[in-house]
Amino acid sequence: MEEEDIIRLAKTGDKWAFEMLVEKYKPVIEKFSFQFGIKQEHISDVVQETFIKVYRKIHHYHKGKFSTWVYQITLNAARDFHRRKKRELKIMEKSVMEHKQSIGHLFDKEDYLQLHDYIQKLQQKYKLPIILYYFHDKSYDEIAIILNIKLPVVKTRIHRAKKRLKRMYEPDGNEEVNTHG
Amino acid sequence: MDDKKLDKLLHEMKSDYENLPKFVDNQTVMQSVFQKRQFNWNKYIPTLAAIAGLLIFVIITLGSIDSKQQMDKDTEDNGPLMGYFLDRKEAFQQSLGLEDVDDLGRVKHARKLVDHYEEKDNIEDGKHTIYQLLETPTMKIESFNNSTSSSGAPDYFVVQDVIAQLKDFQMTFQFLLDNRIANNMSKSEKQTIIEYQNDLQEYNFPDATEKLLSVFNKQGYFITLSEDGKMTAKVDYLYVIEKLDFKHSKSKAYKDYLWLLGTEIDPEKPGIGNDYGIEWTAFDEVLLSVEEFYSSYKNMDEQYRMFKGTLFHYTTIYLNDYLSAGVDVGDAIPKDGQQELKAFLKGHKKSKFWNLVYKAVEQYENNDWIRTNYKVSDQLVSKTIEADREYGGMVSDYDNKLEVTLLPLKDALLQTYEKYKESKDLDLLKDLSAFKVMQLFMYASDKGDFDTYYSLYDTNGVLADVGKEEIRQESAMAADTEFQQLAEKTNYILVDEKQEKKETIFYFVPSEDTDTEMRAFRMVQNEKGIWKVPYMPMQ
Repeated sequence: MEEEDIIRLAKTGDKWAFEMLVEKYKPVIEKFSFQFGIKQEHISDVVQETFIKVYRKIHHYHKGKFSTWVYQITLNAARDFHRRKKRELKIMEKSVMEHKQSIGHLFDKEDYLQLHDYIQKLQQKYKLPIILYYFHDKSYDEIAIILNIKLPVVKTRIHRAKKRLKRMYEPDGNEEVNTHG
Repeated sequence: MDDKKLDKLLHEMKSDYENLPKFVDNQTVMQSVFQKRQFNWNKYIPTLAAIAGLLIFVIITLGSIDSKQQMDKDTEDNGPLMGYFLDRKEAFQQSLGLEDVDDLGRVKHARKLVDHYEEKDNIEDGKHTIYQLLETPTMKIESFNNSTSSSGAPDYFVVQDVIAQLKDFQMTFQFLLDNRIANNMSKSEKQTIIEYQNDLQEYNFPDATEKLLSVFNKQGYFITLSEDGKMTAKVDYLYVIEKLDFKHSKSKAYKDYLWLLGTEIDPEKPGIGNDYGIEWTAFDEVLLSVEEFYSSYKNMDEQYRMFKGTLFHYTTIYLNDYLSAGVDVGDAIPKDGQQELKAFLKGHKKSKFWNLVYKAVEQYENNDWIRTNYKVSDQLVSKTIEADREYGGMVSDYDNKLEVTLLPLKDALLQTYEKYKESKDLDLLKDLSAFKVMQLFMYASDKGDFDTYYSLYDTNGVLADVGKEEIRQESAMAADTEFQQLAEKTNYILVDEKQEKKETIFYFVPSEDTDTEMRAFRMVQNEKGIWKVPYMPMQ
């Protein structure tokens, strides 16, 4: 059955169809949440919140790629979570280093863990395009739609994000964290 | 780390992300979506316990209020406003969570007002003033949230009032910061405060400091540290968004405006030297954010109109500071700065600010990259951002930006014109773009060449029923310089291609130094794919 048919069924409230969507998109949402910086113990909350929103809003979905729409919902859910737990999350962002060991086993190489850590330290506006471009194979156009920004801005932000990441590898260059700004 | 290595690393680590473990199973997700939530007493035990605790607290407090009332009654004997002041001061103190508030300027001032208003026997005004002086940000926000829940849509002015209160209180927090926190502190100690101010349990601060910092958090302030070691208490606009109960759907514009103020535009120190740590080289992103914001909310007049003036003022500051390239007038703009400005021109051709950046770069280039005093005004920024509102709300949809000369015709096109004038052979137009056919039409018009002019019209549309002679009389054509003048006053041309309708609209954006309004010219494509001029092409 094509995704389009599954979505049509899901819109009617069909549980099986919705479960098919959960099956397909849950790993993507989990991955995105983790990369976004949601703590492992909260990822389940964000995933559930995302699917509750998808279920409630699926009748609003009419055109465009469904996956793009799901990313938008996921991003909103993650941002809402971020706002609700703003102060808590600030703790999280700053203490990534301290949690390195707890997520260390998820990465094959120390280099990857280090880069994951640096990506976490980027401001959201830089972090999100990098995540979507490199780890979710999204095109510039799709990123522009998901993040609701213009195409040239996507390019600039990816360029700047990489510039900032490179700077973090320099001695004394690891100072991206800026809670305001 | 070079580009290549970083790219390689980013691509490689993707596979690790693909192998992340499951964080939640499908069944749990399905249950959370479909299962009716059953009343879970366990979940509510903490809440019930809190309510029970609150009841106990109220009972105890009522007892103490009784005794306090007795005490205040004694005080009231000295004057009717004193009792009110003492009650208010206590509420103020509790709201702040401070043990001592007597040294705060606003408390001292309120105390003085007691005598002043009692002397004047103007108790009601006295109460009103004292009430306002001793209203903490959280009290203000609570009152805002209660009022919106009963009266419906939140009012922009009411929100502004809350923000004004936070700003007004900033002095008090600066006082607390200077006198109770930062006093005799080393720079590294201050740095620690900045680092852990939102993360108090992660650092072992002295109790008094931790308590004060939590007051900052609770009341919506954060602390910044300048290079010279000065700590500043600042309003946290993100706190305002978080705490204010925005019930009205249209308030999203204002909420997002506050988000801009909390993240990119520092409203207290906008531009270079801002406390958000944003360097001038990233101000282009602030400008682009303003553009994005404008595109999202330009039609929500009732919300947007109220704060657009302030937003444009901040934008002007960020734009001028960006154009300054971080150096003073008369100083050389370093290579990095030159590259940054040029990169903007290359990367953001569709930006509304492109033209202004272009002008600055042009001036600097002509001045050996010594900064000139090029500066834009609030009015120009406002005009630039709102250009599409003024000209029909279509500019933001344009597909291209042309910086070519409209008239006179270049040699090749002039030759085509001469040939076409003689033969009126439509095949000559076959390979011409909409823009070039439009140029031919304008040229013919200025030359007073009616036959050529008329032949370029699309006679399938409205003109199908209108005779050539009728058009001739209507146009009363004579040689003039209408389009030549348009060309001279045009700064650049925006192109809006409507492929599905087979039409293209050109917008002639005038130079800043002219008083001309922007004009638009429509072209249509006929069934043979030839571009023609529709009836009444110029708007």
